Amino acid sequence: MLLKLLVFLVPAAFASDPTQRQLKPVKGVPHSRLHLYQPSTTDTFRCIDGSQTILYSQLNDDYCDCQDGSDEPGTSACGNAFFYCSNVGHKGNFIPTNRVNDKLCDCCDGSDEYDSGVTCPNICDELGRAARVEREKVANVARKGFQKRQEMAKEGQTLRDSKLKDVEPLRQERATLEPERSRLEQDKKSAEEAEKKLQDEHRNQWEVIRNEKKKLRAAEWFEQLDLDKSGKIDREELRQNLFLDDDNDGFVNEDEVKAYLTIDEADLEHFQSSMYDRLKSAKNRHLEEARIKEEDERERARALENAPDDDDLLAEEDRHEGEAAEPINSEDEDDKMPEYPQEVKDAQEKAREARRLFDEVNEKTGDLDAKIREAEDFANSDYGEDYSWAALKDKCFDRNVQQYTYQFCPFGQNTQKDTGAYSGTSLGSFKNWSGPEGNKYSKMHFGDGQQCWNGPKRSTDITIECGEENELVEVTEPAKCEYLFTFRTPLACSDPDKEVVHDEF
Amino acid sequence: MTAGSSWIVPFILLASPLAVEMVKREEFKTCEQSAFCKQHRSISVRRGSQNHHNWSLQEPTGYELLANTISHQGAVWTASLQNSQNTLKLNVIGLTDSTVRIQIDEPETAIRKRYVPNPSLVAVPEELAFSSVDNGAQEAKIVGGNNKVKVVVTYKPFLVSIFNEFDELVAQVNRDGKLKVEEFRTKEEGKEYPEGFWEERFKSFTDHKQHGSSSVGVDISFVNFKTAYGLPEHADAFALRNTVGNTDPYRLYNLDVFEYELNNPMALYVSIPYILAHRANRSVGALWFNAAETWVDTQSSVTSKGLFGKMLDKVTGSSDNVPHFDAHFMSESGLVDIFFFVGPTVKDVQRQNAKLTGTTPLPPLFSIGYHQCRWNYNDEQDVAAVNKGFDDHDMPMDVIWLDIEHTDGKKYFTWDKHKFPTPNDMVDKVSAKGRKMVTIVDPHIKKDEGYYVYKDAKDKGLFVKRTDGSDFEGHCWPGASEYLDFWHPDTRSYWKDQFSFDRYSGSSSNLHIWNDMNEPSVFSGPEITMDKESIHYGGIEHREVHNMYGMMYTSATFDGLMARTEGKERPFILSRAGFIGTQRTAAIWTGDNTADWGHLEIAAPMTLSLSIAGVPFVGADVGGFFGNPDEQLLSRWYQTGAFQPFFRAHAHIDTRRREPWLFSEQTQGIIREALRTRYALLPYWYTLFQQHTESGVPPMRPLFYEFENDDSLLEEQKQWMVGNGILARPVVEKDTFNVQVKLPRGEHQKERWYEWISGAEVRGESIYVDAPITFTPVYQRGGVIIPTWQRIRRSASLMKDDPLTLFVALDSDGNSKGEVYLDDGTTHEYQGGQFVKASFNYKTESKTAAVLVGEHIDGSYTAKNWVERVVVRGVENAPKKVEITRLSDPFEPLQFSYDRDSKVLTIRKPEALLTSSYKIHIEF
Repeated sequence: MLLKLLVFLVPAAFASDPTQRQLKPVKGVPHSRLHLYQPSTTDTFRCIDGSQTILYSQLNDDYCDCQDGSDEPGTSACGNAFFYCSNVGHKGNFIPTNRVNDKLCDCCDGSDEYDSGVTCPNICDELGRAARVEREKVANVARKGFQKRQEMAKEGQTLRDSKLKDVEPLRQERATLEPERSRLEQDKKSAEEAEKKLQDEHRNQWEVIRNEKKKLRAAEWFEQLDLDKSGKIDREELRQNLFLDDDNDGFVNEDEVKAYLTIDEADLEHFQSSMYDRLKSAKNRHLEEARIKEEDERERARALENAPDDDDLLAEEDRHEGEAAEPINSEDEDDKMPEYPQEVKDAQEKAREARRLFDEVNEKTGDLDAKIREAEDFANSDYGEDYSWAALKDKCFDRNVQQYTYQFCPFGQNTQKDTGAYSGTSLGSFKNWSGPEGNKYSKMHFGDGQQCWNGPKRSTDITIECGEENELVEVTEPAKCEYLFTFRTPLACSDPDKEVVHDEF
Repeated sequence: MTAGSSWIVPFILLASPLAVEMVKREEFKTCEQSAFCKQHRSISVRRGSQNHHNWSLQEPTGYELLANTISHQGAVWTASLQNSQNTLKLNVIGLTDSTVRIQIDEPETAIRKRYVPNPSLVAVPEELAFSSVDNGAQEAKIVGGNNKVKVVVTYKPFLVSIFNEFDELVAQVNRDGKLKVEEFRTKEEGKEYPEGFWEERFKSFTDHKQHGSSSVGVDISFVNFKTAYGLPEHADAFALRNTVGNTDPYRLYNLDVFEYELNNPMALYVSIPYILAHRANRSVGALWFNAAETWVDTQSSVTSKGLFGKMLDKVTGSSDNVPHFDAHFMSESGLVDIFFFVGPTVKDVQRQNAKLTGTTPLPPLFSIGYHQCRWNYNDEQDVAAVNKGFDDHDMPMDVIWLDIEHTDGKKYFTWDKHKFPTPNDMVDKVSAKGRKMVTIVDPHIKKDEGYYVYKDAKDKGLFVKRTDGSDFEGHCWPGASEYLDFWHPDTRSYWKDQFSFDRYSGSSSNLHIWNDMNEPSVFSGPEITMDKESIHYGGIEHREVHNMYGMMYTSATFDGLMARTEGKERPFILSRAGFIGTQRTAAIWTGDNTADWGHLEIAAPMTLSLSIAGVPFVGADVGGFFGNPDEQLLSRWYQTGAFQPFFRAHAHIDTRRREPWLFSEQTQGIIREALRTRYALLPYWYTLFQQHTESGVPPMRPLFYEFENDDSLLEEQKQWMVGNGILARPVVEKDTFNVQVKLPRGEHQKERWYEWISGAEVRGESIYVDAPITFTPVYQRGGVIIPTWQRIRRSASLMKDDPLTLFVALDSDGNSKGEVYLDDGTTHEYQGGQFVKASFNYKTESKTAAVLVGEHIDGSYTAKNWVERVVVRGVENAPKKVEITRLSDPFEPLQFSYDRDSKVLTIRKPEALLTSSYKIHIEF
């Protein structure tokens, strides 16, 4: 949007050295930048971004000509410019020019409202005084805090050093124990192998005997089932056994039989290898079901008869149990392995002893490992540039807000509880330092607290400010289950006498 | 907020922890579960039609008009109707401005008077005597006083036909023979009554109908119209769907619906029983004047011309088939009482409706700025931080809102002493930046003897009653609560007093009011509302007036806000519930929406629907109330909200904080830009709201309002007009960065359009536009001059005296015109002439000359505003010179620049006051 008639005008670049002459004041521009706003020899002004050159009279004429807004530092005409309040007696500062002549006093010297009909009193002296007092107060706090911080940094470093110092003897002790530990581990291994070998031998021998017995029992049963004594069991014969009535319809049908006898007829060998186990378990199952059923009936009867003669019922129960249990028990006897012989028992005893010795030393080394790990963790944790935060590890700070007590535990877990209550709600545990770049230790984030109903897991952000004491000064909940703590601590104090004061930008 | 938020939700979640479906549909009645809806819906149509269904149909009700009962005097024509069941009384009433009222009531012998919701009208309708009445043997021809409307009443079968000023048949009543009126009864022992006649159960609730079932219903057909709109509020498409054979009828019954579903006809918070039918260059509106629960079955169909007989003399077109849009209205009580607005154009219809039901009075300037709300800003520190946050991030903002948590135990008009110990100071600090605050005041009153409002209302007997005469009690935010009866004149005067500055401690003229939960919401009641059998002042049953409870409430609040400054300052009230006439006292927002794309997209059809039904100050919660919007959704929502009338961000208490500066730099930039775009357009919005007070035309308009001839725009709901000059098509679709925009060509096929920000002309009727996340497709229409403020300050009131930049978009003849209205922005002094109205008229006079004439056309306000810049869009050549003349002053040259690429001429600093007249001459 270049004005045609201005195109030929020469930029204001070769004006003489600004420091050499009296600078023309321009509304809204600080002294340090006035040289950019001086008229050219042809009485023009060049936008600071160099995009255009306009008549000098168009500077601050309440119309925005420059795209960067630089021609209107003293009016509200451009949306992207800044007005400088000199605020003599206090601190000069820039405000967006949209605050110029908007009827609100923004500069303490009132200079922003020169044409709005509003008179803004100059309160800079007053504010300046108050600010100086405040600054001094803050500096005092910082000074004292900084001193404490240095002490705490020492404390933290000592703590770290001692942890790290302690860790070396632990490592050495751990190293000395290692050969014994591996020797005992080896001993344990060989004793256990010997034990296992002897046990297996004993078991295998018994298995052989047991199988023989089982064959005999199977043959006995085969005899019983083979009703026509043909040496073969056919389906009809098998059907006579009610315990095969899987669907409990009162008789054994073709399908139920076929499930056990897949061929037309079975000889003894087939019976032993393919049928005996399944038939046996079917029979046991049947007996068990019958028992339970009877028990249920008795239970019902008892309820119905409103607890009649207890003795009768007990007696009946005993009788039934005796009957039902018998065949199962006698066969179970065969399933029990005989006691190990002395030779095996000796080996077992040896293995037990080897295990005990190993466990003893292993426990010791485990203990040492944990201690070493803890010390290493401590050394690797981020306790601030000067390690001062280490002094607050394992410490907690409370604040009561109405009916609640809030607790901030710097590297642990924050909680909220009803005042006086025993346990509280977790507001999250320490996750990380979350301050902005360059000021990392000004904020902490705690997360993964107790899940909120219909909301997120509770979390806390902690703003850390300089103070003389460690103190949780503010607790808010800006959004449901997202807490904001303000913690004052000497650890956030820096040396006030070293700080640079920025006055202008 | 919604009922479910804390009271219902635990139940819902426990019942089905994995439920994805949001709304609890079973909480709300279907037509089948509503005795009267079921009955009325089952009446079959009179003529053979393809639209029969399988439910058991009743025959048409068979009313005929008794010719010997006809009488007529002035503007009222009366006769009796009769069928096998009963006798009814028909009134045809002529009103001014092409409006006619058809009323069907019980005869004078009725045992009880039927309720007519008169408080929802702006005044008693102004009658206009008929110019002629011809009572023939078969039918009566009744011609309106201005000859702009005609009613033909056919006797047997009974049928009312309505004609516009061109003698075109536009609507018919009872063509399908569905007229049904159940009279009030006294129960007779031993007599048999239909199911649900005296008693109706829903869930665990039983509704006792003291006077029996008193439902009414009739069919209205909009003849020669395919498309119709209205019946807000539904989360549904703008153009009404066919409910017949598809869904339940549209339901109008003010309800607090938790996490409402999209695209269905379920009832929501507002009920406006109004339909607008439109086709190219013709419109007709019908207002069903009834405050009881109402269902409306709708259907667009075609019927052979022959069936309309001679009624269709004037219906042109060669086709044998006539389209018609049919609406079967069914109400639980009240009258058959219909106002027909016969147009003939859509803006005529809007004005006719406005004349009857009123307009939104000029809102205070701050209220059309940006509102920042959250459930809840926790305490005074929080409020101060939010207030400061907007300044620190250079984002304009006008109002900070406080939801229910600001009170002491949900006792409205009180403050939580710990969190808000010094409310006056707090409000003062916010208003020190030209801003305002809003607090919530709901109609449920905590049952607490120690609460003065409760105690007073109890002592004075101001609560709604049960049938046994005791006070109705229900659960709401405070727990056990009672509900004020705003039909009781003492309640209204008591309520009015509560807003006085000494009574409402902590209040001031910088504190405005939010009326929520006014359906009314009753957590423990049937369908989360009040039992229908409850009793209002004068023995009115709640069922007769349910839909107007919210309106009666906000109008009482309005009286209070007027009274507190003795009528000096303009009140601002936001309401969730609404009815006919709500617009006179409150803005409406679409209630508890959700942070998802569907809800962003439905905001436009919902606010358009309210706008055309007479409620123009409307908006949806920016960002979505429930849930957490991601940055893309939030960005798009701000871009959309900036172009909808009521612009407020709001969030549920369970959501994360979402003040704009909590997001990425890019998102902050987008939000800042959306806010600045809105604030730049405030003079335009303000002028549109002022024009609305005169014409009834809403600031936010469907496209067919401005392009009335264009039938291709009838279904359009993604783009809309702000006034006559801005077309907005914000992106409401996820991950979408290119959208189709329709730029109507207009009646003469020569409309021109310009991209709003760059000013470059855009050609083509249907274009695809790149819309990166930072861009909102918005266009200026050629021929319209848009006044703007380009100095975006912290709040609207700080900008009110600022100079204007005019955007002049040339039409195809090189002309353009516009208007601006400004005043002090806060008081009623404009009513005494303290305003300025100025017009701008740009004319291309020849190839070498154009002139912009600025005129002060009305008002005596000494406005400080001047024109600082004129941006002319669509100028073919660079001018040779530009000069201005003021009165008889000599010509004074003006500087200018011309951009060849975008063809934009910028005239520098004419320094013309709005209160002066001037001419800017452009020589090419």
